[in-house]
Amino acid sequence: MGEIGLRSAHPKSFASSARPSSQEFRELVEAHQSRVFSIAFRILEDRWTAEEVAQDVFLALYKNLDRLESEEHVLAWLRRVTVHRAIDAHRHRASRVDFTAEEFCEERTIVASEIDASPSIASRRVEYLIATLSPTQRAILLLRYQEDMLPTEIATTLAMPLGTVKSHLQRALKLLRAKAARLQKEVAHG
Amino acid sequence: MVDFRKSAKRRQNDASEIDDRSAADEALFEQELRNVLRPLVAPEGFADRVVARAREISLQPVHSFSTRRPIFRWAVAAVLLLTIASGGYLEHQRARRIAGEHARQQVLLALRITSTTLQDVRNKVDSNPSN
Repeated sequence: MGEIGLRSAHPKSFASSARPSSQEFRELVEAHQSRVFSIAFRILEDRWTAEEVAQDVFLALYKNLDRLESEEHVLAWLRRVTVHRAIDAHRHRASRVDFTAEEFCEERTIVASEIDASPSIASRRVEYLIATLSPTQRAILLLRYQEDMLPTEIATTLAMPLGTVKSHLQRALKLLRAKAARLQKEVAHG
Repeated sequence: MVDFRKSAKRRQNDASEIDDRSAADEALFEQELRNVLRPLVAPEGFADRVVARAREISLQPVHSFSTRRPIFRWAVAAVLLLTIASGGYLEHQRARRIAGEHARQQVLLALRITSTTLQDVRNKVDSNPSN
């Protein structure tokens, strides 16, 4: 089982040695796979591309682990790299398919049934609305509400000015509220 | 008689009630977002696939030479600099050689003209012996 490396140190001392052992790396992947996959999936809205991005992020982590000094450093690195790679993948995707609300909910239900507990209709509506935001706004929203990070932490993670993060966040929330109200009206009118 | 103080106080109370309501709405909306954006469960076998790919990487031979190493970048920069400098020097030498050749041609032409003129003068002197 020791093919990956000959290291026996705990992940807390990554910087001191070469690559982690297979078991250590597996533990690291298992500890962070949900957050990494969720960020990628919610930016890309496509399970397969999200998994590809998430796998690539972990492989990059594997190669760069000796440069990371602590668990916090690993977590910050994972968040930053996942967001950037997911946004890049979103940009490079050959043809962007625009979902209607119904199509999105249908797609989301399929994914949810495979990977998540089934979400309510209201949750799916909110997820659909989030999917209509720009990838950057979505990424900031994810870091704020999925990762529970403060705007200052988001600014540091994404190497963005704090003002930009705050304005993206405020604009995203405003847009979401407006769209939610509109969708609510549409649903009420049948 | 209208009691302005009472009406102002009522307006103030209404405004603070609206503020409270909108703050509560905001908090509710943010809570809803937190609920919706709970981390998803990664696909089954995800960790296995990642570890398998990592294993492939670790089995690949490590190349001691990498184009990403800083020394390689410095070497490329040095070679480029040397090429540019020697190119400049050679071009300068070539221009100097051309200028020298041009000057030599000018001197030879001047000598040829002088020689022809002197020859003409001598011929004139020789053809008129009375002088």
